[in-house]
Amino acid sequence: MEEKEVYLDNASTTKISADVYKKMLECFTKCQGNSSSIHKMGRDANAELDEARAKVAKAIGAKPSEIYFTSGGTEANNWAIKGIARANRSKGNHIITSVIEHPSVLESCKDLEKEGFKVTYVGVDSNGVIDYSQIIKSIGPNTILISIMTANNEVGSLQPIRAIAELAKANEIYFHTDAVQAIGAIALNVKELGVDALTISAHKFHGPKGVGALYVKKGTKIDRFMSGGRQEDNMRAGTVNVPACAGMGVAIENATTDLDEKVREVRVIRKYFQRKVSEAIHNISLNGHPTQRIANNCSISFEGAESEAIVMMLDREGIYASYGSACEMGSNAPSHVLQAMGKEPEAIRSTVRFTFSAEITREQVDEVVETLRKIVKKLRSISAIRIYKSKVEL
Amino acid sequence: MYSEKILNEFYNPANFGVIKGASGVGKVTLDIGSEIIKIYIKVEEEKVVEATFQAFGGVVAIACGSVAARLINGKAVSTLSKFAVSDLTAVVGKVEDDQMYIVHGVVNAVHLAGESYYNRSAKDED
Repeated sequence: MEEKEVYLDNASTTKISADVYKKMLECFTKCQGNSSSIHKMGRDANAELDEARAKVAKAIGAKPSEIYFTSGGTEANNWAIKGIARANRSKGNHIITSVIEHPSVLESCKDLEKEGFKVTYVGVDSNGVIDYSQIIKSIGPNTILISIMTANNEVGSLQPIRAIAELAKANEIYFHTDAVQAIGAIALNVKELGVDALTISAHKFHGPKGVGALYVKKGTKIDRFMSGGRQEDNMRAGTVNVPACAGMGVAIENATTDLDEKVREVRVIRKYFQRKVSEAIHNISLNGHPTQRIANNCSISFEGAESEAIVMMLDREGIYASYGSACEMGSNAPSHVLQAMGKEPEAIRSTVRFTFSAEITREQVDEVVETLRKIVKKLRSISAIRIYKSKVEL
Repeated sequence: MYSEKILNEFYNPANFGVIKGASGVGKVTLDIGSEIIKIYIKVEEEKVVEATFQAFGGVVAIACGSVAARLINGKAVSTLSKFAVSDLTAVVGKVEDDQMYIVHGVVNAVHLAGESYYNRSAKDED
């Protein structure tokens, strides 16, 4: 990254940390064996996998045997939902999820609907928090799975997953949570929370892209995801990407060590940004829950200035933010999350997501806010929407 | 992803804003992406002597709005109805298929600005 560049898109992906890179390089150069091979090189590779699995397990309070490596969060979500639904088809055919889930959850549910499953998509309030009472009302005798994300990727709102896990357990329903945005953002212990399956993606916490994991509680009935090999306890066939898994092991250990201190640093800089933006720019609003949110996320609607135009003008100045989520960039359809929160189409179309890391300095924030102020002013001068000045404090 | 040509127009928009006492205004609101495009024209002796745009939209809306205002400036108002998508793409280059609705929207705004001028003229004659 160039010295002048400021990366504020950490919800899309994060920079690999130096020790993750070092670990991966070590694996690439010193342990090229296939982790399934019986010889020493294979055993060495397998030892790296064991170590990585133990680190992932420890980070979320699981047993190593409950961690399955995948190609990332999307695969883990697909596997959890389709795998649990299909394996429990004889018990029922009803699934409960929410309208603000990641597309990999929503589209997995759509795929299952074609197989005869029934899916209830519960709504959210204006803060992007799911309607718990709707989940209670939706549970029926055929409900076999509830899948609700831990934290939303667009607006950062935390979901009441502890309460949902208890509800699911009381009704003997499996509960999966997509925790892709939550690892390294909040403390997560699968045993304390009582979740049956949990999705992890390494590149969201300074690990490599293309690797993730699915936690599956021992005893959970779940179909295997891919066939053709005995890897991952015969549940997920395919030669395992050892350097990536080893990198994820280091990354998750880093992300969850001294978590409170790291989160505090990110929260301080994000709040500083919010305050500075609200001082510099009028007619803006913060999306998501004001307090029950992950520390790094700041989603702001700039009345009268359009999201893509803001993001592209920031891009020219070496400042990288996004609108919606990276998985939906380039789509003309308005954000399904902001729509579900009841935002007006024009407000949705003027929303930009800034997601921070602890590396961002106050000086950088000051420069970003000044650049942003000029860009929003220019776009409002071009805009076909007339705004009536009002100032808010975020 | 955008071409250099369209980005250059987007980063350097000209002729934006309102023309007070405009002879004609065309406004288009696009349902797909909630873009709003406005074209203002000032007409003297049946000729566009000033044209501006306003856009609530992204790269394509702002770039095409700016180019459209530039292209119609100095043209006979009677020719605005013939303003075409190809006039814009000739300047901004290829636009992705899923963004072409915005180019069509800008063209429609130009047509509506011309129509609005004739409607106002007809009213004045009444």
